[in-house]
Parts: sequence; C-alpha cells; structure tokens
Amino acid sequence: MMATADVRARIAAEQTELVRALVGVAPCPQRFDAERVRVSVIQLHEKRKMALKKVWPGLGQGLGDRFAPLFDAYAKEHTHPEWGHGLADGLAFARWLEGRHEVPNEGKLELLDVHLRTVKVGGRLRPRRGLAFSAAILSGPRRIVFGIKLPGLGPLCFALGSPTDAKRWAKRQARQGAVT
Amino acid sequence: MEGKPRPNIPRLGLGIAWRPGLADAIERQKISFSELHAENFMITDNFAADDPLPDSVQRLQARGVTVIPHSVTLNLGGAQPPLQDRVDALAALVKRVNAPIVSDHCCFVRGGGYESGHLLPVAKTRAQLEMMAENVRLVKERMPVPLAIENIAALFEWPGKEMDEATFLGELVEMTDSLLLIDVANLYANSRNLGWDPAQFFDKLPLERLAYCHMAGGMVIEGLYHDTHSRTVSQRGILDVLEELAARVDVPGVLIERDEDFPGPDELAQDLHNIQIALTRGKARREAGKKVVGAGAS
Repeated sequence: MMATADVRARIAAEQTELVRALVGVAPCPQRFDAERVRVSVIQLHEKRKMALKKVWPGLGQGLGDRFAPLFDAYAKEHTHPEWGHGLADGLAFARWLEGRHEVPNEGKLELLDVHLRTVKVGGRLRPRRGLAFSAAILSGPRRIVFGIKLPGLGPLCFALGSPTDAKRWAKRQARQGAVT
Repeated sequence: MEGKPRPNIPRLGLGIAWRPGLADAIERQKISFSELHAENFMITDNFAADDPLPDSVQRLQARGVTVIPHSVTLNLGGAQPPLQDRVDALAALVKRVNAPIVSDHCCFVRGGGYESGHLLPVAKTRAQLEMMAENVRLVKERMPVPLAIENIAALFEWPGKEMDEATFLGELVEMTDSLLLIDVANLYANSRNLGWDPAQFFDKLPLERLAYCHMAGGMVIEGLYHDTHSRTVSQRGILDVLEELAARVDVPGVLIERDEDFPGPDELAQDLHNIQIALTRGKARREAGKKVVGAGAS
C-alpha cells in the first residue's frame, strides 16, 4: 500500500517538531520524555562538533582550545546546514570565523582545498569539475599559497614564502586522498 | 517475502570500519572486510568521482578485503521520499568499490529543513512502517546490490507506539526483501537505557536475513550509556549480546566501529580475538542445540 500524501504530511509535521526540538530551536514535543530529549540535544550538539572536527581537522587543530567555545557560539546562531553534512557545516563555520578574523592557517588551507574541490549551486555543495584555482593568505610569517586542481588529478599547491604549512597540507592530502 | 528468493548473503568474516585516523592500525590486522563512511566519499548529493580512494583503502582492496559503503543520510524513515541523485551517488560508490552490499539505518535524520546530524528513531506505527517500506523500495530500485538496514541507539522512544522496534525492523526487511545489519552495541545501549531485552529482540527478527553485525564500545555519562564508538568492544555485556546472537544464527560478518580515541593495533587485534571467542561460544551453543536464555546484557 502506498503511503498517501496525507500520511506523509502528518509524519513530516511530527518529525519536524521533534527535529526542531533536538537542534534546540523549539521545545520538546508533548508526550516525549523531556529529560531524555534534553540529554539528546546535548548529545547531538557534541556529535555535530566532533563530526565537523573530523572533516576539518586542520581547523580544529589550528583553533586548539578555542575550537569548542567558538563552535558553541557559531552553533547558537546556525543550525546544521540542510545539505552537505560536516563538510558544509565546516564551510559555514569557517565563513563565520572569517568574519571574526579567527581562521587559523590550517583552516585557511582546508578552505582552499574545499574551494578547489567544490562549488555551491542552489545552496548545495557539488563537486567542482574541470580546472580550478584558489589562493590563501597565511599569517606569521605572511605568505601566499596558490592551489590548482587539474581535471582527473587531486589538488596541487605552490607557496610563496615559507612553504611549511603548504607541504604539510599536500602530504596530508596524499595520505588521505580525499577531503575527508 | 514468502516464495521470493532470498538474496545471497556473502560470508564477510571479521572487519574494521575504515577511518583515516585508524588506517595504519587497520592495515596491520587480519580482516576480510571493511566499511567506508559513505558520506565522506561524497559531496552532499553527488559523488566526487575524480578523487582517488585513499591509498590505505586501495591497499586493503588489493589484499582482497571487501569494502562496503555505509551510509547515514539516506533518511529511509523520513517523510520525504529518498532523493534520486542522493541514492544514485551512493550507488555509484557501491559500484566503484565493487561492494556486495550497501547499508543504512532504520531512522530519519532531517525534517522541515533541519538536519539533525544524527540518527533519530522513527515512530513505531503501521503508517510509519508502510511509508518507510515505500522509501526503502525506492532506494532498492536504484541500488545495484542488496540493502542492509541497521537498528539504531536512542535515548528515547516515540509515544503511542503500535509495535516494538524488533517487530518494526523485522517487518520492514521482510516487506522490502532487505537484509539486516544488527548493531550489537546499539542494542546493548537500548537494553541499558530503554530496558529492552536483547534475547527477545533477536527472537522477533528474521535472522536468516542477517548480513553482518556492528560492534562498538561506549561509555556511561550521567547514568546513561552512550554508544560513543570510543572504547574497546571487549566489554562483557556487549560480547554477551553478540554471543547470544551467534547462539541463534550463523553470523556472516562482524565489524568493529571505532570513531574516537583511536587505539593501536594491539587493542584492535585483541578486540577481533574476543569477538571470535564470542562467536565460537555462540556457535557451540547453537550446534549443541542448547535452549537460549537471557542475554544478560546489563
């Protein structure tokens, strides 16, 4: 038997009410165990934080102890993007950090990498096909890293100034083979 | 479904889910299968096909290790029908790694424009079951291999349930001719937090559809057991539940999931060894035809 549009609409409304509570923008729906839902809200927040850190390890590492409080502040203002899991969440977080001049060098290199690999179309990240260029300005000492992605190959990067971070980044890319 | 030929279930053996931070330790184990977290090899709704697979994964495949994409965002229990391009992206990954099976969860993950970033329980109602079965069929139509559906851990249940989780999951896989992925750790967590009985859970499932199991170690935080994938699986209660399952059915595969506090190769080897012992004990009970008793999971 096919689920009717009415059934889907009713379930959609119920699920939305629950998700809104779990991401912290609405109260616990009636008849749910409010205490368990409260603990789940914390659990989801912590999981989101860890998921982002895994996909953006440089950002997490570069921010060090400041990662958690900065992410908590960001998450208060921004729910998880509807599309793109940790990659999109991290991109939104990095953009939020840019507005505060808080992006560490490692995060800038990851941003460069994501720019080379993805493009946002209609609010959704898609793989970037073909030739792509990007650049990042690193601080202390100041240098510029240029990134290029050739069709069929992973990203390559060149640094003007001290190339240490860029080399480290290139090594990591070679080891992991993906943005993950 | 009665009269319908069952899909062939490959013997997967013992495995460890592949993670970048665990890659070296995994390569040093005697495993025969692994899982890729599918979303890490996709970009939202399309597969980044020009990215090579990590060297470590390629080396495992060269050794003959079977690789299975494990997805968390198909939203099988969601009110919105599965997105075609999202399903196709997963199917492309399945083909790319030559997987014999693909898996996702008995859950929903988003609603009303909000992404939870987590696996959320669905209402255990007949209407939800029929809608979810429809979603699963839509996914299966576009998937080149059998789909295994996994039970999740949750800290709460929906009010007004019309059936229990095992009945729901069992009917779902029967209605859609799907396979079972039993997460032993999730079941253990639910036995601790929601009072479920693992033995009764198994008794209600069509275990002949079991494709493989997940094992993971969690921790107690403020009185609740959280399946954090951050601890060894060599915990008595979790291994007991696995033995209980093996006492009922020949388990085709068992896979360790570790996502935090990555251990060295020795701990992983010990975990694999202890899993093998639990399977052997269960098998001995099964072959001896012993009456199955409570799982003693808590």
